[in-house]
Amino acid sequence: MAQTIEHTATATAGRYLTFRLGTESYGVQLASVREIIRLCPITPVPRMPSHIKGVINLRGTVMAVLDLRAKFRLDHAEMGERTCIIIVQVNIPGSNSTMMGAMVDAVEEVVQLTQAELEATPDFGSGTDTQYILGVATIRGGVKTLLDIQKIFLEEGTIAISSNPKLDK
Amino acid sequence: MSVISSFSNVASAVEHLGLIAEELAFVAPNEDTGLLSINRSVMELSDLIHPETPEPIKAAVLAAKGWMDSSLDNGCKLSAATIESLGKWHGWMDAAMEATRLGEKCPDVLPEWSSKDAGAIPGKIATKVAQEPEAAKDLGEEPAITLNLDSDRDLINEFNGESAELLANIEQGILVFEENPDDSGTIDSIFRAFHTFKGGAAFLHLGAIRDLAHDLESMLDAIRKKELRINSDITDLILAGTDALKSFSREITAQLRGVGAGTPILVPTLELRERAKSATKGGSAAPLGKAKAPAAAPVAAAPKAEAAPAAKPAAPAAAPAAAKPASATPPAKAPVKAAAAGAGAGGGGGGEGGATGFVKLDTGKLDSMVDLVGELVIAQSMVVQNPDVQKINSLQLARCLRQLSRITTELQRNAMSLRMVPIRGVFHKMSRLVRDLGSSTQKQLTLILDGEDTELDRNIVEKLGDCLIHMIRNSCDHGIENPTDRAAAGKPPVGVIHLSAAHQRGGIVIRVQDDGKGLNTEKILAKATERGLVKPGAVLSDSEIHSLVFLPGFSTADIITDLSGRGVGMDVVQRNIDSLRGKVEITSTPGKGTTFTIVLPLTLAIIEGLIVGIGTDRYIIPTLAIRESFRPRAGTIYTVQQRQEVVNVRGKQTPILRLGNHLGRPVRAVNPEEGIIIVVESGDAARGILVDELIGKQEVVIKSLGKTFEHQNLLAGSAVLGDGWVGLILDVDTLVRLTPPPIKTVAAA
Repeated sequence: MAQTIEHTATATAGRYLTFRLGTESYGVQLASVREIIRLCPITPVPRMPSHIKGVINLRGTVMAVLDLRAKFRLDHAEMGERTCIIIVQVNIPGSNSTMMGAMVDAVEEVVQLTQAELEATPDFGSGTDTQYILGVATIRGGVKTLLDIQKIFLEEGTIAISSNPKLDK
Repeated sequence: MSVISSFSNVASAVEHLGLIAEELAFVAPNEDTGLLSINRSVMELSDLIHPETPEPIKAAVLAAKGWMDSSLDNGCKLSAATIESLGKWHGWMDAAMEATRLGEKCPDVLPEWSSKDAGAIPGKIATKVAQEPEAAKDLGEEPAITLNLDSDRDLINEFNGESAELLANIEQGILVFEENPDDSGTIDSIFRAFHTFKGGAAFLHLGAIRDLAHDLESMLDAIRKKELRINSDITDLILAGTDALKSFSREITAQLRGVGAGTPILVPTLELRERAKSATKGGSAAPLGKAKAPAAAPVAAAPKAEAAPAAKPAAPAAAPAAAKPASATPPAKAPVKAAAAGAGAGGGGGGEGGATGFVKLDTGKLDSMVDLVGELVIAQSMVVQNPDVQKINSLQLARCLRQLSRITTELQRNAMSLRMVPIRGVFHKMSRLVRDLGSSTQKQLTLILDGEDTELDRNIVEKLGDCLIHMIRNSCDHGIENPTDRAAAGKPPVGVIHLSAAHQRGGIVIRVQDDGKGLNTEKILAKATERGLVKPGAVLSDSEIHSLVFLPGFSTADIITDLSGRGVGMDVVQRNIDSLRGKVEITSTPGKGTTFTIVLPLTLAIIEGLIVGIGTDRYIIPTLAIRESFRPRAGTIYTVQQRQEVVNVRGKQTPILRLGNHLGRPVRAVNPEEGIIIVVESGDAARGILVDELIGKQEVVIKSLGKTFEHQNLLAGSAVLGDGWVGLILDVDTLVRLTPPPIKTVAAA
């Protein structure tokens, strides 16, 4: 239970961009979203965790793309017609901000969430990792999970990867 | 809030303090290292002061400014006392900034900073006061300047190029200022221009220029502080001053071109200085010559006065006659000089610009242009390789496309060359350093320079400077023995440091070689063991021991000197070189000397890479590291313990690294005979990298992979390939070290 209270960030009212992963709906603060691009060729980077999809070239800038499905350990799905990449500006403390992409199944809409629509993350018990969840919002009967996208990317931004080879056989 | 605004921008003040702190870490008594940088930061700080700034901070900044001024006036050396004061000052400023930020009252200023003589070098009485006689009756002999073209040619050239621009700014600015005497921005910029000018001149020991700029600057400072109001006399004086400085500049230009090189340059400045001083004190800035006009000209020696009218026909009428002799030269050379100066004056404003042939521009703009050209090259090849375009069967289109690619290639080459600068500037700074080190260590040193014309990326040159300083200090302090020890070892008394640069295999090799006592491996090992860097009893090869000196905090010096021994230094070298994607190696023979070898890429922006295919992936291997590539014949590959494979490359059994397997990516060439082996090497290690196919060789613009991948060392970066895809650049250094002996792999897993 202690795990769920690891961070104190909670969702605040404001504009959110919502998107789908499978049948679920998620939201991220619009302020950190730079743009949304259609799926483009992604160069896989070897020896990376599976949720690091690879790198793309966005008008000359090379940036990492995260597969949010893999990150949250959802079922694997084929990339569809509506699959797209949300480009997020990540502010790294003590450094310049950088851009990264998050691959999602489909982008839904931009919504204005009021404080009344926001709810703290429910206590799922210790089995569920909620450290990236800011809260949930109920809009028109649907539940949207609000993600701390900065935190997700910040952690990915500093993942340590062992360069020691496994014996691939 | 009002407190925060009182030091108009605390954040930027803190930033400048940070810069000063960095520089302070490297200063040494009686050296000029860091002086100009600190001076600049102090200037910036003093620009941040405005009326609401708390009095103590104001006083402290002014005090620091005073120290910097005196240091500049004092042969451009930071005295030990100044350094100590700066250290104390910096601590105080930090505290004061913190207090300001928190809205607290700032600490009291130390009494010695607020005192009247807050400009004097601490611990030394102001030296300048004495030489300021009240009356300008006898101005004394005009000081001449002599250029040290042998050692400072590049610095002088740079200074001269810069000065033309500064003087133009001053002239322009002062005219604007006369119209709007309340425009503090303009006066600040003029003041700063003079200050920069003075700094540069002082650095090059151009005394007469420095003094003139100094006095004019002091006068401008008074105007800036509203103690003095500008009038036409002052404007005239400033213009006359800039004219005099321009005359110097023209002479310097001529000497740089080889006209009368090395002869003293004499331009009358004393009269101008007197007027500036008198104006600063609130007196008249009018030409002294108004009272005694006939006397003023002869002061500058008769022959010159005659040469003057010819050299400077276009002199503004407002300027006083005595300030005018443009080209004051020793009589023997007078005709030549006058002609040269005349030519310069004839060219008018363009004369100065044309003389140097340089354009100053913002490095940010340059970098972004180089980036854009890189993008253009990619876009161009995307068009050419576009399948739809390739379907069009038109000779004309093919011709146009060829033309396009020729132009883009040429453009790229030109853009790249813009960033290339000769290494000479850095090298010459080193000769200064060695000269200074020699006198402070009581050793006899000579520096031999080689390959100064070697060009490399200016970003590299900038970082290289620091590395060389550390290595040369290290050589002087630890390497070269003192004359008695040298004599005992049967060596000539003069220690020789050989600094060379050369192109080698598409990169740059820089060597620092000394003929000193060499590295003491036993001592290094003992020290490393003592610090727990090496396990007691470990057996290391000599080269492994040598590389220990690059560890942070490592120093074998028993005594910490000003020069080295603090344990920072060689790890800075290693870090800087790493960040430049270069390598540094040490070889050392006891009693014979030590050689540092730095291998650097030519440029940071592009590399030539071999694009290889593995499955559906493409990777880029820098050609710099590739020795050869071949398709192995069946039966030439042997296995060792069924785990490792080796292939005979020119008589040497070379381990094979199956790249696809290693990267965990699907491959097409299951048997080595179906693939290609690329032999790469780094240092002493070599590996045969097995890939599926060779796709092509291409120059690629290196893009950083960003934070996400900075903790891996398998990839050195990425590049956008012709079709818009991202290709990953492999780090060869890692690759050759990676293929682990089976035993270690098991241990690691």
